[in-house]
Amino acid sequence: MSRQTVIPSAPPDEFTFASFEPGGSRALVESVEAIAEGRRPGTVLYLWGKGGVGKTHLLHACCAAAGALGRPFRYLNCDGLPDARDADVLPAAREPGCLVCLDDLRPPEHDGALELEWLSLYEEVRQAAGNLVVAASGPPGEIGLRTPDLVSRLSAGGVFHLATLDDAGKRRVLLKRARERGFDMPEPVIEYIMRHHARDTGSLFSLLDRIDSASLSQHRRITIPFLRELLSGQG
Amino acid sequence: MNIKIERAALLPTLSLVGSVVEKQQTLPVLANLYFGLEDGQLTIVGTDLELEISETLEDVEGDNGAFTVSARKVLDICRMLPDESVINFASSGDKVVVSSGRSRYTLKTLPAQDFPRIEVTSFEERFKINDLNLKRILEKTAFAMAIQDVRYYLNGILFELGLNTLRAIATDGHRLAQSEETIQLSVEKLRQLIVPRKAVAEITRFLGNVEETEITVQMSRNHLRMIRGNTTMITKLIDGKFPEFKGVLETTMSATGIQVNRGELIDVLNRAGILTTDRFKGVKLRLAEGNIAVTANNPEQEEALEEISVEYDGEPIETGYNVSYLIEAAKAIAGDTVLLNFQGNDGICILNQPGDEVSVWLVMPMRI
Repeated sequence: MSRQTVIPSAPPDEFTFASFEPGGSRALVESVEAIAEGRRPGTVLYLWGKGGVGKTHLLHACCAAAGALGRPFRYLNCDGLPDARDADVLPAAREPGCLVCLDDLRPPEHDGALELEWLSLYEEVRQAAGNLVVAASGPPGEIGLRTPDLVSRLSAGGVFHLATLDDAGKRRVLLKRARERGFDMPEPVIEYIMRHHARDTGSLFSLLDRIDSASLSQHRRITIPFLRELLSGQG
Repeated sequence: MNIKIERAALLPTLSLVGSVVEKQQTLPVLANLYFGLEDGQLTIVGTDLELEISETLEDVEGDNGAFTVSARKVLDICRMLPDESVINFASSGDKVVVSSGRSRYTLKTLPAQDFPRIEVTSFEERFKINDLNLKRILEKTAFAMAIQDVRYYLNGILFELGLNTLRAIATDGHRLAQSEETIQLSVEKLRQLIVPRKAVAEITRFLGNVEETEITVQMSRNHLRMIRGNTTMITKLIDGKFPEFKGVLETTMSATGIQVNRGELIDVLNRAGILTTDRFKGVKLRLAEGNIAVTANNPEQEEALEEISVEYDGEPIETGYNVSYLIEAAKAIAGDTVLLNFQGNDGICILNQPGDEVSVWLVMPMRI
């Protein structure tokens, strides 16, 4: 079947606090916002939760808010980070009030010394009255870190669990993200998705991407028949 | 009140302001046109609450007063009266008698004070543009607007106002048209506004007879007003964020390309298009040494093949496109020559006009 390709445009999803659906984690989001705004100098925050709960979103939102206030910030993803010593993290962290976001913290596979670097990053940030926000898949003691001092330091600050959104939260986030892209998701369509499609946020967001590009490609409204075609692979 | 006016003077105004009135309305008064006479100036207004056009006619005989009457009926009556007619309007109570010679029509009116006008308190920015330039920028871009897309911001033209520049961008996601005109404007930062499709169509109508008149354009946060002589149009703007295409567009402005005769290209595409289906108007363009071959197939296994000689000595490229998009883009180009470029692995088709470095037309490929 013929398929019209669409003009590539900048990704519409913005990782901001406004676009974050807090669900039951409103207090946590408020703490991250306070940190971004520089209202908690020297504070370290550790947040953990399953994949797709929005950890990366929160960290990016935190950086964006700090950047908007003119605060220095660094975002680092530990996945694919060969060696923190190569990056300019440590000198940057010495800058007074710098915000460092360390995403997807996990024990380094080959380089045990990297954990010591993180430990010193932790100290540097605190001494410079900056902030460190860490995201990981589990609590500090349960992700396999081999440096006890690092585990105890990370546990000493605020450790928060970011819970999976409930169905109502997922409905809200779908609607919110669709609106950010400039279209509405009618209630029956959302209902159909929740009944007939995997409901983890990762799957829902990738479905939203498909809906967005298919409806633009075919110039169609977002209806149940359209969705049925898309899900059956005809779209 | 009474109004006495020649049909020839009234009809163009009725056609212009009457075109705003929708076939179906949410309020009965929106089916009507406002007629107001004040000291020899007759103002006629049509609105759909989002778009309003008013025009003032000078030196009209009659007494001061105002009423509203069905746009469709009054327009049809005037249109069908003989050319040289003089028309009288006599309103009293909730009726108006429209008469001319031995014709006499009694129509229902609604009170003038119930006629909703778009109120805008302050316009922050303004610039002047020659109607010829405004017409040109719209002709180059307006065709690429989306029609009733769920993304409401695509159903209009983006006007981007920079220092002494008005840039227009229209896209339906499948193709895009962009052009610029020079204006006198000093702005501190880029301002973007999306003018709805219906307003764009009305502006084009409004520019019908180009007389090289200056048009004053004024903008507030939510509205745009254009004033041309005795005619004023106010439209609501589309509230939304137009997509960022900078990445694509920065690489597409090109002064070079494969030169093709514009008329020949349009003819070839129109003919090949005969064998496409209504739903997918796909044709294949195969660019090879010295030649562009355009082919089309339909489900009945019929085939069209057209060839155009061009100067090209690169690798063969074959890509599918919606034939209508290519035709419309080629039609928007002025002059006899089109410059064609094919970009990236997908083969995005970029059309340029020789000597015009501020306009670009882009057509996304179709997988056939």
